[in-house]
Amino acid sequence: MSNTRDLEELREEVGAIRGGVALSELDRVGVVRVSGEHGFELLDRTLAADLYVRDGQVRHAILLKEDGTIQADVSVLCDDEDFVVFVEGIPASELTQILGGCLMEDEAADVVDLSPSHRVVAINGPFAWELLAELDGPGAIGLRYLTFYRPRPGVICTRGGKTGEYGYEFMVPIAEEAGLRSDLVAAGRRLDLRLASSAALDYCALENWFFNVHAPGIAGVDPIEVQLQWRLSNQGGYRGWGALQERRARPGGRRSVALRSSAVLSVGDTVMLEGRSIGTVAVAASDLGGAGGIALALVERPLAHSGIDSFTVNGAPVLTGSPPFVDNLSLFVNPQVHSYANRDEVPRPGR
Amino acid sequence: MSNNNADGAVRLPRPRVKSDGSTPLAPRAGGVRWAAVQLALEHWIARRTSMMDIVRRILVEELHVSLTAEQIDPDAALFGTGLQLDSIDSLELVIAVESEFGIQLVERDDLVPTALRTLNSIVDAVIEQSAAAEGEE
Repeated sequence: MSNTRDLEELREEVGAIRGGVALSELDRVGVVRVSGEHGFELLDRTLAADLYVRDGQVRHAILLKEDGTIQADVSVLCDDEDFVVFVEGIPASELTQILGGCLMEDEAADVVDLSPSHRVVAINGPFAWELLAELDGPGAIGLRYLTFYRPRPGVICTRGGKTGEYGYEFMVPIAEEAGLRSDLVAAGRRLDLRLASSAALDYCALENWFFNVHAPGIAGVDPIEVQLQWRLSNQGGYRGWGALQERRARPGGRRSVALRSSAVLSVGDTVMLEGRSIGTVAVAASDLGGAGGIALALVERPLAHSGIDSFTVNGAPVLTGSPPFVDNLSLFVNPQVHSYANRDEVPRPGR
Repeated sequence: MSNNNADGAVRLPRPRVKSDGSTPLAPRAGGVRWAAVQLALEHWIARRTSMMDIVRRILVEELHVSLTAEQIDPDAALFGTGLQLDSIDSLELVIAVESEFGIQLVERDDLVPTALRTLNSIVDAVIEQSAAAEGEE
């Protein structure tokens, strides 16, 4: 397939996510169940976040390597007395091993890799709630952000997503995946549901400034560099905490900053200031909404600020900005008033 | 306007970030000597840093977020995920920021104030509103 064709398909997929609803298979998401008397203590000690999470809630967390860099992006679901963990960046089997290694001798917890038996699919878009309501009744619309429910036996539906639009992820037993997908596709016809690839989700994640552990240029970063300090517990003691404290104490360092350019930006490009290298492009994409490119760059911390037009990449000027790069339609959609059928009536700035 | 800004005497360059959050390309000041670029850059960063420090203080001391000021990253989401502020917090935040900087941060009928999404977006809005107020004087 040509690059032009790839770009056109990507544009259509992103268009569905930004304007309607799209179905995606999250084959990069693994699932682990943690249960037992000390399940909470095990997760709390291993993951960097404070796991203040009640039954039915979801908490974003992060798994660090011992050197303080990011190993995996994690969401923890509190399921009664158990925890369901969605993990990206490493296979669920690896997280299972890591958790097993962190279990103390006098602790009791079961850690089970659910990936061989379950899949995760997602719907994203400003009218994803409407598809969920078609599937499961109007009560589903009231599902709060970062909570979950069980739409059918064995299936968990969380409200989350990394596109900036309404997003729902279904953890479903493999035996029931085809049925769920079939139901979603059937219910989604009226909403012009289309499939969206991982590339489309990655693009939307960049536009909305969601951390994307799959981006190759992100490898080896720590949570301070990519502005994920809100996911760090102040209690300390978790895996990688000591190394992270050392990193925090070092002078200098880098921080992520959003770039926009009229020229194409590529991962690994050097960000320059008056002939001096000050950073590197870590995540980049062609700007589907216009010409040029958008990017996340890791720049010397004192210079990593918004509104600067003195930097260059490959000789072309770039502008640092305040992400997200888009105003999501979901911000303006009111499920009590709007629907996909009357989507043109959703008020937006500049319209 | 607060007197807390370290470079309060320096007139801000026009904001380069629009109120809708988009970041239009601005022409680069070609041919400007490095010293002039550096000076403008230092002023810009000092101004933004000073404003961010004020908003961070509001978040920590008045809204009691669970992070220290240093842990509040410029582009971290304030609502939903991130700092997980809620609608009541948003009202407090708007009042505190407007009081501190002497500007109107958001329109009162703006149901979706995108200016409140992050620390950086608040600073963008403060800069833009300050520049607009200066232009009217």
